[in-house]
Amino acid sequence: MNPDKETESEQSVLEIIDLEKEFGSTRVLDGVSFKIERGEKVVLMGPSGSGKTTLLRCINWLETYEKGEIYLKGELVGYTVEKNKRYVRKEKDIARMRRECAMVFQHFNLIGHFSVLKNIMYAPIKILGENPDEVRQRAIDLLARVNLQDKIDFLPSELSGGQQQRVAIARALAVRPSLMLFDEPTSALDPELVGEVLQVMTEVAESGITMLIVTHEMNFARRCADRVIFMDEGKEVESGPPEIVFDDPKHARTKLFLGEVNWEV
Amino acid sequence: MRPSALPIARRIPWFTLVAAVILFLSVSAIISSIANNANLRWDMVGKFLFNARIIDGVKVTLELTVLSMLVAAIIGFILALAWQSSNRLLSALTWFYVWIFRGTPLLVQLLFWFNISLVLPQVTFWTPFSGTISWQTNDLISGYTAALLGLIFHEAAYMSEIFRGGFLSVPKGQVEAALSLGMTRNAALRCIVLPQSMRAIIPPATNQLISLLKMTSLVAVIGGGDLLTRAQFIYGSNFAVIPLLIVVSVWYLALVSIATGIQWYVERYIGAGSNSTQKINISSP
Ligand SMILES: Nc1ncnc2c1ncn2[C@@H]1O[C@H](COP(=O)(O)OP(=O)(O)OP(=O)(O)O)[C@@H](O)[C@H]1O
Ligand SMILES: [Mg+2]
Repeated sequence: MNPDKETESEQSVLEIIDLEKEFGSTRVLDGVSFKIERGEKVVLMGPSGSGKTTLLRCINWLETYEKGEIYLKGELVGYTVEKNKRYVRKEKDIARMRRECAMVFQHFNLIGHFSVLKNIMYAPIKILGENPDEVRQRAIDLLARVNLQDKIDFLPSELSGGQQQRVAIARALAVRPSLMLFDEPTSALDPELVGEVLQVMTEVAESGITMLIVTHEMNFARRCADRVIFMDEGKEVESGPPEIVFDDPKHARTKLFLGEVNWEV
Repeated sequence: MRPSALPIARRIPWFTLVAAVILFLSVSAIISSIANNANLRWDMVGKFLFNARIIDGVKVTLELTVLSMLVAAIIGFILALAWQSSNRLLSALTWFYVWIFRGTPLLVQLLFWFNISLVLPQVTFWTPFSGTISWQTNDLISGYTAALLGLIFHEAAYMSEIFRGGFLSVPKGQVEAALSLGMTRNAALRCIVLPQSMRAIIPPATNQLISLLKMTSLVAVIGGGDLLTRAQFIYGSNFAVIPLLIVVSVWYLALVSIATGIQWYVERYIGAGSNSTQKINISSP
């Protein structure tokens, strides 16, 4: 029984099957299943506490799960299966799989004692072992893409929230991930800084990278998402193209939620 | 006239001035009575301040401080790592270690080490070629080695708590970002947590060094050979108790002052800590 699914070409980038997660006695994820194909952009929405952050963290094994399966490019996240038993993967193996998906956090989480450039170059050079000169050039190009070429030697604490988040996106892009995870990347920002980050995210989306984005920015979702998944209480309530989910929601819970979020930006 | 055109005047702080004068007068009275007190025998203080035996004692005190701090820092670091490992047994062991060595007085621990031969009369090693080798514990444990062992084991408990606090001071998000980039836990600890925890570790660690410097005087009870041991030895024969205690105090003050100076520079260098430039302002601006 091999859990790692073959057929490279037909393989989904991400496949989640019946994922469940409990913290103590509260069930945070209650049977989540969906697939993301190569190049797809999926926006995940739902009220506070519905388990969106937990889901992203499980995909990255920052949170463990016991029930259900998560496949990243066909490989089971967190476990290996040998002789009908499931073992937690070795630390190095987990680290290798984490490199496939890059996470952009709500609170940026740039490494505080590294400069902007070092934040971007660190993983490709130190972890992936790429050529430093090449990486440096790529980092500079990425900084130009997020419009921060003049902040190369700054420390994260010397940047605004929007600038930090753009560096974080550049850092995630630098490892050339198969999947990018965004956890409410603009919700910790002042309103006037949201636009610059969404702008960068739109450009990233257009470049063809596979993305799973937790956000409540409706216009961004409408513009960039191939699919919107609406979650509540750890379950998928409704999913489909943004124009259908937003303009003609089937479920009362979705309607209620859409009535509450703001439509600006 | 508009207020902005007026000069800013300062009120005269009468209360502070009067208090300062009273304080100055009483302190000088105390100092002069000390300086002129014949019982203090300042001439003896001067005579013994740089006495060869006293200087030897200063060397031993410094040696005990530096050696035990270094070894305790290494043990403390390992304990702190073990504490935060996912292995329950390891973290329970460090908890137990800290419980024992921080929970009993240093003086008692020193007496235990000094009298360890009552528990373990012989130390035996097995070596592959020459079979077993054993020593009488009494030959191994002198006052000095007992002092060193006692200080190290006691200090390591405190150092491990300092390291542990330092690790905890690094925001969780820093580690998660490193992990999600594909770093292993060990690499994240080495490259992210350690450098960032230094700001939180160095101020209490230098504090600990200063208090250790003074705590070494406790080893006098087991004849550890430090500054106080030597002074006690000298006043045991010449009965100049107070002058020699003053000599000891002068030396400790001097050493602690140097250490404080170093602490001030180090803290300024890492831009953290409790120096005077960062006083919390609780009065008016
Ligand atoms: N480490 C944890 N320990 C215990 N409970 C947790 C933990 N992390 C999350 N939870 C709980 O899990 C539930 C889902 O949390 P999660 O952060 O995934 O929600 P979310 O959908 O991201 O919400 P938000 O929109 O507010 O970010 C919440 O009830 C939360 O209290
Ligand atoms: Mg969340």
